[in-house]
Amino acid sequence: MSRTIVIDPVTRIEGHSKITILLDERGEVSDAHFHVTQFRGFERITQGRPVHEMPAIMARICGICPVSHLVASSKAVDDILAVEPTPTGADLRRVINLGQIVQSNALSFFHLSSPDLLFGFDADPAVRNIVGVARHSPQLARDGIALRKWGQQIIEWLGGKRIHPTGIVPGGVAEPLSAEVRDRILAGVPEAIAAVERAIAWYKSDMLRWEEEAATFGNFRSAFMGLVDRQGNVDHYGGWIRVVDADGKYLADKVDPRTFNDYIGEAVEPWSYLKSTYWKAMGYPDGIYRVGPLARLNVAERTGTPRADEELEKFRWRVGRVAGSSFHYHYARLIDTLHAVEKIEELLHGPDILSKHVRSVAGINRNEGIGVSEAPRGTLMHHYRVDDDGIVEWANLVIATGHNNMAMNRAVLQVARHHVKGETITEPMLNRVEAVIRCYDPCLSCSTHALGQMALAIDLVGPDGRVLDTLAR
Amino acid sequence: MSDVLVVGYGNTLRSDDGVGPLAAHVVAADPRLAQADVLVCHQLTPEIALDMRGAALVVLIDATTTAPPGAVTIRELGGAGATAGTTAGGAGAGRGPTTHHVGAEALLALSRDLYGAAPAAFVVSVGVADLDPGEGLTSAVEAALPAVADAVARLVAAHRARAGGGPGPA
Repeated sequence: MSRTIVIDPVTRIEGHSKITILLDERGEVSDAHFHVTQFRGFERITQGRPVHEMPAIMARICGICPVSHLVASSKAVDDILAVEPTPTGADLRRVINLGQIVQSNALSFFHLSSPDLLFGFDADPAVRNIVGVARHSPQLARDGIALRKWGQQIIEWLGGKRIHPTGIVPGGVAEPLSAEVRDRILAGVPEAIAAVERAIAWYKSDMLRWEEEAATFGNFRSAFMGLVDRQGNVDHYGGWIRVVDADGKYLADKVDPRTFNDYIGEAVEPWSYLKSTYWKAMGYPDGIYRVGPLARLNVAERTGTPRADEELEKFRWRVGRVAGSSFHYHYARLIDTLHAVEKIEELLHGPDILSKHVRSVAGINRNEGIGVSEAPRGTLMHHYRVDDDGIVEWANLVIATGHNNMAMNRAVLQVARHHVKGETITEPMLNRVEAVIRCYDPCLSCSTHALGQMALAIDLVGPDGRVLDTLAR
Repeated sequence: MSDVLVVGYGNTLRSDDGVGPLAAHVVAADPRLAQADVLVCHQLTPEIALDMRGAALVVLIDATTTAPPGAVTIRELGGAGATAGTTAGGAGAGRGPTTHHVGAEALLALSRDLYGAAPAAFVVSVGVADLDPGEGLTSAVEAALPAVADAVARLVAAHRARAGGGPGPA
């Protein structure tokens, strides 16, 4: 008789989900599913709306990374208008997008994952939380809060408000940057760099404690995808799509993001609202690939900023040129954050950053548009079709968490096989299964297409479909 | 920067849950409270501990389902006695500091542990009738907005009186 374990809901991720672990007749884990149980429907509700409204509507998908949707959506509308943003407009978009990367990465590492890393995966959940971190390692907690605050301030000062900003518009940005705001942001750079570098130093000093997790938390061969610039360096805003395999060999390079549909397919499973994307050339489900901070470092030659490049060199020395373990998302996320801070500083020192020319204006010139950018969790794609009056007829969103869906399922299976013993679910088991999901920092608000809410639970299910044990928080 | 911080939080797309943000706007426009810093947010997050750092008085305005619609109640938070992981009461009850959201007590503990801040802290709660998706408040809750501003003004006046800073707002 086979059995099933269900974890429902998964905690410390953005959104709600559930995990089912299937046991075979010998009581061993045979399969695992990460279910996303929300439904949102933005692709449908935007039909019939004027395309100029799309960035503001799409920013409402998520309160954590609204800027990412604002950027990708505005780029898709740029494509429909057949305009390029002015250079200053594009650079200001980059700055606000990087502010988003900083605040979201800080949330993921310092607030959501550092309790596991600091106290261990077996620690009492009453201590294993941000208040526990504040008491045990106050500097680490202060650094997380300061970084997130700085990133949010960038969004607020440039975008108009912290949550659901509106400063990015089709053709560029709504307002030029003032010298006063530029200087206010720049004043925070030294502290932001110091905060990330302290976290990186701590992480490196403690890495050996997590060797077992690094070996078993989604450690498998897969492809990786991300955007790179002309030099092959990390590009969070534009550039080309590059995909490498587990050995670093290019599966595709210099791919125009507007042609992503030629390379990426989308599959749907009956047990989740989250779509599974796959590399078409390898088919489904073999075409598994990962996106996000780890993928960005794996596909790029370098980050392109000095401090982050120095850390990237050490990262590769420690975990390899193409890091395969999803546990290394944490380490990669810190380097990604350091790069973002440096890049913000570089952009704000640009000679034209205070230019008044920040927006290109045009009418409807195409009936189809695609916008692609790097969100904190990975590559984000918005694809719209409109009629001649610019009314949206169809929209499709390909979201970072969707790209990672197959990888997350495989990672959960690997952890379950390593840690699930017997017919009952223990707290350490629950936390490890959750923790491997947190490596990917999934955002389920974005990735599901919420009526109602369902908080993570694990179901342990036998071969006859009977639920043997359930553990929920 | 004022030594009084007022934080109104809630989801304005969930009908009466938006009473915190809307009341915060009323407080911000109230001449009796012109010296207070007012923060409007969707939910309490750890970064607010940083905003609390320089405050001697923090007033949180939130919705509650445990009081009749429109009823305004005041609860003092634990201050130095706040414990990690506890989120008692209507402000974040039951969620705990395990997500990007933290409860009022946990936020106070963060501010104390990280920044040495020990403000007096109160939650002004407003009973709600409707938390379904939608914008705007039900009539009973909307009618309570002046009472919320009065409650905040009384807390500030009492704080000023304790601090010896004069009579404060009436």
